[in-house]
This record gives sequence, structure tokens and C-alpha cells, in this order.
Amino acid sequence: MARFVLERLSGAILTLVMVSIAVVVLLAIAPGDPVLLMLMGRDATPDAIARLRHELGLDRPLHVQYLSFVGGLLRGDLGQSWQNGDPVTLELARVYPATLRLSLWALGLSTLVGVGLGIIAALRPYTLTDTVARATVLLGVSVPIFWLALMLILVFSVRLHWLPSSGRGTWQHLVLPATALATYSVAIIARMTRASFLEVLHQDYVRTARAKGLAGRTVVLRHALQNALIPIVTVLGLQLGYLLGGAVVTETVFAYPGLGWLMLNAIASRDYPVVRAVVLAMAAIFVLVNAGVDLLYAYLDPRIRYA
Amino acid sequence: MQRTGRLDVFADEPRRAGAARRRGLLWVILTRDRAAAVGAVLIAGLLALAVVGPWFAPYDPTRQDLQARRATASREHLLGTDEFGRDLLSRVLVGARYTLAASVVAVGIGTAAGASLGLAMGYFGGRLDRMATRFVDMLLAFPYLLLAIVVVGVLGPSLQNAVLAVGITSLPIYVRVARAATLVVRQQEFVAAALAIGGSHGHTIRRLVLPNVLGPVVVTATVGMAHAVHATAGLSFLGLGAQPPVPEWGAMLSSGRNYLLDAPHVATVPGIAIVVAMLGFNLLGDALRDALDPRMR
Amino acid sequence: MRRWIVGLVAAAVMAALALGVPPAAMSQRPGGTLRMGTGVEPLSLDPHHYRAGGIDLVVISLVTDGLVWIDRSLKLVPRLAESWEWVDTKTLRFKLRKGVVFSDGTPWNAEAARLNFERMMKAAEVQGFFGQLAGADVVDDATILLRLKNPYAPILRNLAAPVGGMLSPKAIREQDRTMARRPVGTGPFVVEEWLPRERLVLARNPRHWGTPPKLDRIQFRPFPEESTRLLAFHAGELDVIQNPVPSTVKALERDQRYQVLRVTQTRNLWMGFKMQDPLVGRNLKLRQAVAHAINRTALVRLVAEGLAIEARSFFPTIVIPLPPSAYPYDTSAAKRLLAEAGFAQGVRLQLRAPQARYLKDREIAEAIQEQLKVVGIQTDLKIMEWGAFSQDLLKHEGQQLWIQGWGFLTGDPDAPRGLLYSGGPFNSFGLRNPRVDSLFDRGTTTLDEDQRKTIYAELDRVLVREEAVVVPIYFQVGFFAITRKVRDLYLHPLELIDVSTTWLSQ
Repeated sequence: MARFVLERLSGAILTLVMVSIAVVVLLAIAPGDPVLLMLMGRDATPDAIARLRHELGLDRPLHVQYLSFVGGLLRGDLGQSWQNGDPVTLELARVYPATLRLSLWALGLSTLVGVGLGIIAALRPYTLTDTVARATVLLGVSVPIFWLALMLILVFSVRLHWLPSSGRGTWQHLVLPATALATYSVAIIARMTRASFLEVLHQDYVRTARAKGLAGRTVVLRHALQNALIPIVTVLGLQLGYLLGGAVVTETVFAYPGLGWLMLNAIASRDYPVVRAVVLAMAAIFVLVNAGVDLLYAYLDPRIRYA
Repeated sequence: MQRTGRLDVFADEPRRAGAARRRGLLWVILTRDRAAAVGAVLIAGLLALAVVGPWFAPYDPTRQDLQARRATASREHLLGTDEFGRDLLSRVLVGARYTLAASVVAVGIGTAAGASLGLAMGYFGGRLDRMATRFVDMLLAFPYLLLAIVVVGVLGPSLQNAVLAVGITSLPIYVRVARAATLVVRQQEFVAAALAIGGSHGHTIRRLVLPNVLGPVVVTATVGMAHAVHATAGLSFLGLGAQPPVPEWGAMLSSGRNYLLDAPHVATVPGIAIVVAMLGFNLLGDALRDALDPRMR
Repeated sequence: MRRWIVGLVAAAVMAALALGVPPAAMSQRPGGTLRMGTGVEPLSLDPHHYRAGGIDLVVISLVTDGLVWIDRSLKLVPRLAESWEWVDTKTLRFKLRKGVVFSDGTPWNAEAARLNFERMMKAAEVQGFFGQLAGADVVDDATILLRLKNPYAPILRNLAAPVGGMLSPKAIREQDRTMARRPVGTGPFVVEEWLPRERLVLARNPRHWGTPPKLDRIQFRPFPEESTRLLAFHAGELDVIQNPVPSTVKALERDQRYQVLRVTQTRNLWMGFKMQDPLVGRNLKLRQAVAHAINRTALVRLVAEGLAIEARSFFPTIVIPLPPSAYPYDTSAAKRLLAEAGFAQGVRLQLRAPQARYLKDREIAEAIQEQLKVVGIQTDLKIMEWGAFSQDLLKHEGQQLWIQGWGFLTGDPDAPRGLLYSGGPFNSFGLRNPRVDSLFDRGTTTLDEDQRKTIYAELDRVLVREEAVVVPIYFQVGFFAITRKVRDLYLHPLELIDVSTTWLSQ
């Protein structure tokens, strides 16, 4: 087991190293000059431009830029945002909790709806109930998220005045973005739930329980749910990773101050220190959640360790 | 280790399904599963629209009529006009082709490159597998948006480049699916036997491995079509997608979003088109996946 | 009895009307928070370390004051200086306002001014504005001499712009690094709270030297998505939105609940020619043909939805009054010149335009493509994201035409020097014209306003007509949507807002 953990973690770290190299290289390839973007439109002198370029370290060779980025990273110093001069660690500390909060809300919502619909569908497979439940879920994933988000604002904020349209503050602010973000995960969780339930319901012990004359509800709740839970939990773990990283469009539409908006903004203004940090942070979430899920799986199912 | 959230259900259980049997299977699915039938009908409709749609377009989809901007439905313009006074019906009809082509190409890039890489990784294993796994993990962990911006930034914004970006970002899914399916087949005795009697790798892959990998990949690709439509629309929303005046549905929806209050039809018309197309792919893909999953039978 | 009351009310109304006070003004009262939705949030509120960004200047102008101020008619008026005079062509003397304190209680005096001048001279970001400063000498507590390296006419306007804002000496000494977040000035408002990407709240500065504003607070909220900003406005969560989507302006104007404010700004949009390009750079007649093919009336009325002013010169006429210099729309002249240039059977040119940078930029480019086609000029149009576009601007190979705008942020015509001067850092034209250079030089060293007008009129004629290196398209109009609740809010041509008398009715 220890060897498996070690291998999995070293793999995760290697992936992150590759991501860090890729982001530095891609930023260098991507068109757009950060200095010009900062000074464009003003009567800047060539001297001022050269000075700023030097201050930002852009006149150094790429590998030196990379090494100083990694060096800073190891010391816990991610530099300062070129846009607003704030330490990048501070920027991350601002957006991380916000995005985590939104993701957890979305995860809770999608679990509730997804597991519920999945169970309903599994109890009566290939009936009208099943078809309607699945179609509802799939309709949800079939609406482009930015359109869905804007329609939610239009209905619940502009027409009904029930919920705030955007921004952050109270729990009400989270309802609409969490709903928009959750639709995609609902579909995956629902189908996973339906699949594991169908499997479990066909197992002998469930049939036995039914034959013993236990009420349908008891069977579902006591026996089936328990056994169907493991694969569902796995999917939930992966969905959290997806939600944390996938909130760019949602955060943009709802003006929600999280990781996705920060990244979009940083990319548009070629704020390299912020882009590097955010990309690495997103990758780290993804890689760690993945490794965590794998380890959990290995713990639950010993066969995997020796595969 | 092949779990990407949505596709893993079947990935570890590849089918040995010959072409004839698969056709039979599809028929079974369509007759048993109403959702699948609806999906198939929607996709058939979309295909028909892509082929003949432009012939029925009453106007040139790019012709502007600035005096008749954002007009609601009328006898001249059955679905109204957009912000440049272009006929929305014509744009939707002609746009079907762009939208469908865009997703086919994006999925094509994903399957062609991704599935063959995954197959090679699963079949040959060893160092190639380990290195490629790192690469795929990196791609997966990398925010697709930054990748899209670099691709579109270097090559310039256009539908083609957006499609390329979507294709590249969908690679890991196909790699994983193909690799997992290959791994299972590789361990089967008939593969070892084929090699033992002197079969070449090429022959073994073509005759024994590929047929078993194809099923999961096709299912993934079906759902992947919906994903590609969505992702392309998302890039248009961020200004990285199709360039005007191309009537790609995602770009139309995204430019219509500013008129949700005064002229909602500008967004609603392409929006519904997108939803219908995505729903079709999702319904069909979902049913196919069930059918290929032994636990569902 | 009842008749008596009616009479009294009528009399009161008559009296109010007679005094020229609208009835609503009777409920005019201080207090309340003005909630404003913007596109982006400020990056730096430090006037001397100002980064690109229009909203930064809006907030800086509310929090800090400069020595002088440019009013809404672009006239220079006193602010922290009561008066000023040129001692010689390189020295200015300012008499400072007395009894002013910064919001942290530090007094405003000549020493504070000197410290600020030194700070401006050191800051790389504002060298374009203050690069000509040589030093400052304190004469007495309320008098300061400002020395220049060369005679430099734009200095007063540069000092009046938000980048010339004066900061508390105590704050400079103790919290210089946090100035971008918490500037300490003498303005009517102070920064009360700033939660990045959430809200920036300004509160009335109780120590402000001038007439106190009526508003208690101004809250700025950034919206990365403009349709959300519009929806939030409709949902009643905002009182003001900056530049709503142009195509929704007519609907907003029709709506009884809202009002749309407009002001002509000091920013232009134009199409430029790459002068290093062998095709257009050496062919005046081809450039003239392109210029004649542009129908700016159609561009402004139909494409820009009337939210811009047709530009008949390069320099905005509100910055400096000029005779029109642009070639008129004349397709037959365009065709004739094209034939004389040797392209009777047509020519193909590269056209580039940014997207979502200027009002209707992409659409303008599309329409120009159509207009050029009519006279036989085919164009390959490339629409680019601003980051990539701005870098591409300074390349000269294989490019001929592009669309760009330029802001005259201080209202001085010297603003586009870096764009047009030989070797200028933003010289996207690749222009090297000694006559243009010498006119720019004379324009800055001449202090007499009337002489400057003649100089810039000549410069404009050279650029637009004689050399035809630029085709003016429009002058930008700023527009804000406000709810009926908001009264007496004014827009400023320098892309600022004037809230000095703004109040909120119920």
C-alpha cells in the first residue's frame, strides 16, 4: 500500500511540474505583450517601456523566468499581480474560499437532485417515470451554461425579484450560480446512481430481502443505498474537482469573485504571475482530488493496488 | 485508473461485439428505450437539416438589413431578424451545417488522435504508457480555457481554430476510454494466442483489439458531440469562437444574449436549436452507454 | 376651508415654479448610496502609478484633487491651486489654496506639493505626462515654483488630469505601498471599503475643503459580463450603469423608469495606413482612394447606432477646434484615384480590427470591408482579441490597414505624440515624417493657445489630407443609463463622472 501511495503521489507531483512548465511556455507563445497592454494609449516614452519590461523581468530568458517562478513557489512567494500590485498569494486567498463555497453548494445541490432522480429512475427502469427522469436530467446538460445562467437571472431576479442577480454576500447570492453550475454534475450523478442501483437491485441479497417480505422502501434505503454508495462517492469526489475548475463561465456571468473570473481577467491582461498561480492552483486541485479518489478506491478495493 | 467522471461506467467492461450484433443491439435499444428513440429522431433531423437546410433558406444568411434590426416574427421573416437585420430562419438553417461540422471535426480530432494514442498506450504499455499518461494527466489538469486562448491567439480567432481547441481539450477522455478498453482485451487469452501463432501486432490490433475498443469510443463520441457543441458555444461566449458573419449557432446565441429583454427571440431561436441538437446526442449517447454496459441488461 | 387649502397648495406650487425650482427639488436631500455597475474594477487608485483602465481615473478623480481641474467644458479651473502663472517659458508659479487638509488630517501646503512632484518624476507609469518636470522649489507655505526641462504647454492639463492627483505626505511616507488600494487625498470622497471583484465603496470625506457632496456613498460593482450588468440594472440592483450595450440604448431611452446620459468624449476612432508597407506606404493615391470610399455617416448612424459623432478631423474638435480635413465620401473619386494609382482592376489589402475594445469596433470593421468592396478594394479582415491585437499593431510586415482609437485623457492635443512621432513607442503607422515631428515639437513648446490651434490644425491637415496616413471615423460618445431616482449626475468628456451635486430622490 505504501508503495502505491508513493507512486501515486510522485505521479501527481510530476504532473504539476509539467503543468508549471507548460504554463510558462504557453504564456510566452501566446500573443500579447503585457507591457504594451499596461501602457497602451498613454504617452509613454520608449525609456519608460524598457524600464517597466525590466522591472517585470520580461527581458530575461525564458528558463530564467521559469526558475525564478519555481524558486518563488518553493519559498511560498508567488510574486505580485502586475495588474494591481497585490501579492498573488493574497489574490488566491481571496478567491479560493469563494470558489470552494460555490462548488460545495453546487455539489450539494447536484447530489441531492442527482441521487434522488437516479433512485427514482432505477426503481422503475424503462418505464415512463424512468424516461422522464432521465430526459429531465439530460435536458439540463443540453442547455449552454451561459444561456441557462442568464435565463435564471432574467426569471428569478428581473421578473420575480426573488434572488439577487449577481455578486457575493448572502446565501441567496449563491442559489442561482450554484444551480447553473450544478446542472452538468446532476446528469453524471444521476446516471451513476441509476447504474449502481440497478446493479445492486439485481443482487441476490436484495431479492432475498424482498422475498422475505421487507417493504420496498426499507429494501431501498437499508440495503441498496448502502451498497450503491461507494461508486457514487467516487463520482462525487471527481465532480468536486470538476466544479472547482469549471466555474469560469458561471463566475463570469454571475460576477462571482472566484478563481475562474480571476483567471479570465488575468489572461486577458497577460498578468503572468496571476495566470501561472491560478493555473497551478486549478491543476493542483484537480490532481490532488484525483489522487485522493484513487487512494480511496485502492483502500476500498485491494485488487487495484496490485493491478 | 480510468475514471473521468462521466465515461467510466463502461470503460472497464469492453464488449466483444461484431458489427452485425451491434446493429441488432442498436435496434433493441431504440425499440426498448423511448429516450433513445427520441434522441435518434432528433439527430436524424439535425443531419437532414445540415444536408438540405441551406436550400430552404429564404434569404442570404449574411445579408444585413440595418433598417430591420431585431424584428420579431413576421411573414417576411418567420423567426424574426437578428441585430443586423439578418433573417434568423435562414441563419439557423444554414448554421446547422456549421454547428454539426464543427462538432464532427472536434470529435474527430479527439477520437482519431486520442483513441489511437490510448490504444497504443494500452497495447504496448511500458514506458510509452507511463509517459503518455503523464501527458494526458497534464492536459486534463490544465484549464482548457488557457489552452483555447493560446490556440486561438496564435492561430487567430475563427470557428476552425475554436474547433481545434475543443478537439485538443477533449483528447484525454478518448485516450482513457481507449486505453482502458485495450488493457482488458490485451489480457484476454485470444490475444496472447494470436500473437503466439505468429500474428503481427498490426494484425492483432486490427482484428482483435480494435473491434472491442470501437464500441466504447463510439459511445464516448456520441456524448462528445453534445460536449463539442457546448464547448464551441462557450468559446463564442468568451469571444474566441466563430467570427462574424458565420451563422454558427453558438456565436448567434452568444451575440443574442444582449437582447434578452427587448428582443429575446434573437437568442431564443439559436438557443433552442442548440438545446435540441445537444439533447439528441445526449439521449442517444446515454442509451448506447447503457446498452454497452453489461450491468444494465 | 377646503378651498383655502387648495389655494395654499396652488400658491406654493406657483411660488416654486416662479423660483425656477422644479417640484421634485423640494425633496432634494442629502444621503443615500449611489450604486454603479461598471465593466471592470480599478487596478490601481494610486494616481502616479496608474495602470491602464478608465474606471481607475473615475475613482481617482473622486478621491484626490490636482492643482488645477478641467471642468466639463474642458476649461482649466483652480482646484488645490488658487491661481497660477508662467514665470518664464520653463517655470510655473502656483498659489496654493489655504486651509485644506488631506483625509488623514495632514495639511496641504507647498511642501506637500513638492513631495508629490518628486513622486511623479520617479514613477515610470506617468513619464508620458510628467517627463518634462525638472524640479520644484518651495517659495513659502502657499507658493511653489515648478521647473520644466523644456517649454511644455500640456503641463497644466496633465497636472489637472486624475494622474496629477495630490497625495498626503504622511501617507506617502508611511503607506506608500498600499496607495493603490487606499489613496489618501483631499477629494470629496474617501475609500471606505474595497473587496476586490465584489465592490468598491467610497464614503463622503468629512474633511473635504469644498462644497460637500450630497451622496453619503458611491458603490462600484464590476461585471465581467455586460448582459448581466444590464439585467442587474433592470432588477433594480444598480442605479447607474456605465456604457450599456449600445443596441439596448434606444429601449432604455423609451423606458419611463430610466434615462440615458450622453457626453461627447475626447477619444477618436480611425483607420490607419502602415507607412512601411510598400503597397500603401508609397502610394498616396491609393490611400486617398481608401479615404474617399469611407461613408462615415452610415457607419455612425447605422452601425454605431448614433452613439458617436462623425469625425471630420483626426483631433477631436472638443479638444481643439479645427476645420474639417477628412476626404469626403465619394465613390467615383475613390474609383478614379484607384485607377490613377494603377489598380484599375482592383486591389487586395489586409485589414485588422480589435474586438470589444471600442464602441462597435468589430461591426465598424465589417461595414468598412463592405464599403471598400464597392469601389473595388478587397480586404482580408482579421478580427482579434485586444491583447493579441495590441501587440500586432507594432508589426509592419504584410499589413496595410487597421482600426484603432486614441484617448486624449487630459484634453490636450499633444496626447498622440507617441503614436505619430518618429520612433514613438506606439507608432503603429511606422510613420517617419519630419514635418509631423516638428509640428508636434512646436505644439508643445508654444504656450500661446491661439498659436497652438494653428499648429495642430496644420498637423491635422498633414495627417488626414496631405499625407493621408489616417482616415478619421468617429469621436466617441460616453453614455450611462440611470434610474429616475438619480438626479443631477453629469458625465465628463474626459471619461469621468461629476457627482458633486448628485442626489437620490425616493
